[in-house]
Amino acid sequence: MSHPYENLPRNSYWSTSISAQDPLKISDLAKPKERLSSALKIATAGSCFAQHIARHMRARGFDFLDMEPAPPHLAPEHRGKFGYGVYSARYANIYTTAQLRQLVERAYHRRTPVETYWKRGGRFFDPFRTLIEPNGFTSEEEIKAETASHLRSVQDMFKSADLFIFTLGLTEAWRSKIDGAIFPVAPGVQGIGEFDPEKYEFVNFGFNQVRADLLATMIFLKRRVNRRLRFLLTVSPIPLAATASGHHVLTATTYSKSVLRAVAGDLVQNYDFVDYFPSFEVVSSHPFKGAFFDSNGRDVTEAGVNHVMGMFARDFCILDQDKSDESVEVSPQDLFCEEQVLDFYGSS
Amino acid sequence: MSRYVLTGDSHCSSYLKAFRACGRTDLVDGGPIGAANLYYKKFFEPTETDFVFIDPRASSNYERFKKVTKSNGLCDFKGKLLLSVGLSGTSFWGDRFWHKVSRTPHPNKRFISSGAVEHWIWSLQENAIRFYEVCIERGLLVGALAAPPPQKRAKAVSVLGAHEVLSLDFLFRKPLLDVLQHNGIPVIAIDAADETGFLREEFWAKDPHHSNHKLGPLLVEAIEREFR
Repeated sequence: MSHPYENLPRNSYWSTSISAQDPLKISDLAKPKERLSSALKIATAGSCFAQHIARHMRARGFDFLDMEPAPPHLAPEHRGKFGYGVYSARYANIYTTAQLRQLVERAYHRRTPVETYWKRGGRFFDPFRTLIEPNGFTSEEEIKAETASHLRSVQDMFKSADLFIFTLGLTEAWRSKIDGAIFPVAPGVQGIGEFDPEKYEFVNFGFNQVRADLLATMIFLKRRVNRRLRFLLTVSPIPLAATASGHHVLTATTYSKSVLRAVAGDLVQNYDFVDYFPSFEVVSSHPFKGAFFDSNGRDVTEAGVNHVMGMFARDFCILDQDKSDESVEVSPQDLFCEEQVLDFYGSS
Repeated sequence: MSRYVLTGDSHCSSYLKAFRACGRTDLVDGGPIGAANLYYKKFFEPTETDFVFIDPRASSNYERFKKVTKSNGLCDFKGKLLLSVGLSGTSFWGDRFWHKVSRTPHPNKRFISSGAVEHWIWSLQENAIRFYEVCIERGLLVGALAAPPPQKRAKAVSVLGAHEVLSLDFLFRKPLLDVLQHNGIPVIAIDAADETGFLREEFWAKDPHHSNHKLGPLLVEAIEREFR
């Protein structure tokens, strides 16, 4: 008498795909609905771990969209401080699906938050991107100009992208009691803004809200902006640095990641334009014995990132060859200057 | 042997040709190390008795400099060195980046904040500033030779406007000028601008960024005035 668990592929059985395997050789964790070719224009966003994805996608020769490129010759160590090249636009970390939805709604003029700046000392900070200007802006007008320009770039990004990779990071956020605006960090953190319990509240989103925000965003982008846009979801394996939920940070992390993973799974099952890559499982699940975490048990090591991205390249991508985007365009005035220098010794 | 030795960027080449053209290599001689954008990244390492230039082309130019000046290197020129480094904003304001980006709100350009511009300039200038500081520590530097003013035929002038080009040019030079002023190092500027602040046409080289040999007498006069 046969039964449904007979003759399944090897990776359906724990004993053959996990117990009998060297953890570094565990494979076939996910099958993409569509493999990614380097011809695709790719945009990325999300929580901290998404930064690694962006960096590796570039290094592996993908057409990574960079809608707000860094000024020329700005040293790489300085670029990140201003949010250049970290993601496809300078939106900084987007931790929650509510924050993503808010970004899209702002970009398409469907929402205008009441609060436009927070202050530290005499400097002005964008409450929705506190990290992109480490020393803040000189005025509210500068923030307005920067925000308008940034949101145009976000529009252009969604119009141009073939694939949007979003890394879900958190369920916890801080919300304005006045207009429901979602802030990536609590007011007052690092001295930016001021926490006022009359104006702000803590929120820990559940499955339904996380799913609703993400689905509404995807449907809006598909229907109104770019029909060919596909989505690739990942869940950040990086645990919460802190929780305001009142629970232990470990159980709060488990809650958060479980909700996010469940939402990703639900959307992948129900929508053919959504895919999922299991970076969370590769780093966090117990067969890997925490080997990809740093000694603080939170940061993912470079070896861990390389392992995840190697698996991503193998299982999800079709690549012609490794390319690098480090080529530097030489401007005409630089050529004139080079010639002057060469010419001098030629004539000496 | 000249009284002063000049090294630095491509303007150093134009200036040295101008000194030669007016027969004043007794006053200033020398040779360039590399074009302005060389100095945007880490370009040198000081050794105990000399400097190592990291970029192979700069290193080879430095060897040529030693030949021209019949020296063992920059450290032979205690109290005689003039630098023309980091004082030309041409590569900064002339970059195509500014065709797409603006410091003021613009419907078709991306905005860049004053903080980001300031940080960008600092990152471009920090290595040049370090070079000046090491030359000062070693007792080599007597002065900096300013680049000629921008030319109004430069493409950036039509794209950004004259005011913006001059404003960006000043912003670019400011961090270095502040350091030089703080250290009491004179910046020798040549009076070759017209009433709008751009280089007078008679001093234009073939390209829209450098000066020609006719600047020689003005350079001589400026240096002699400074070190009288």
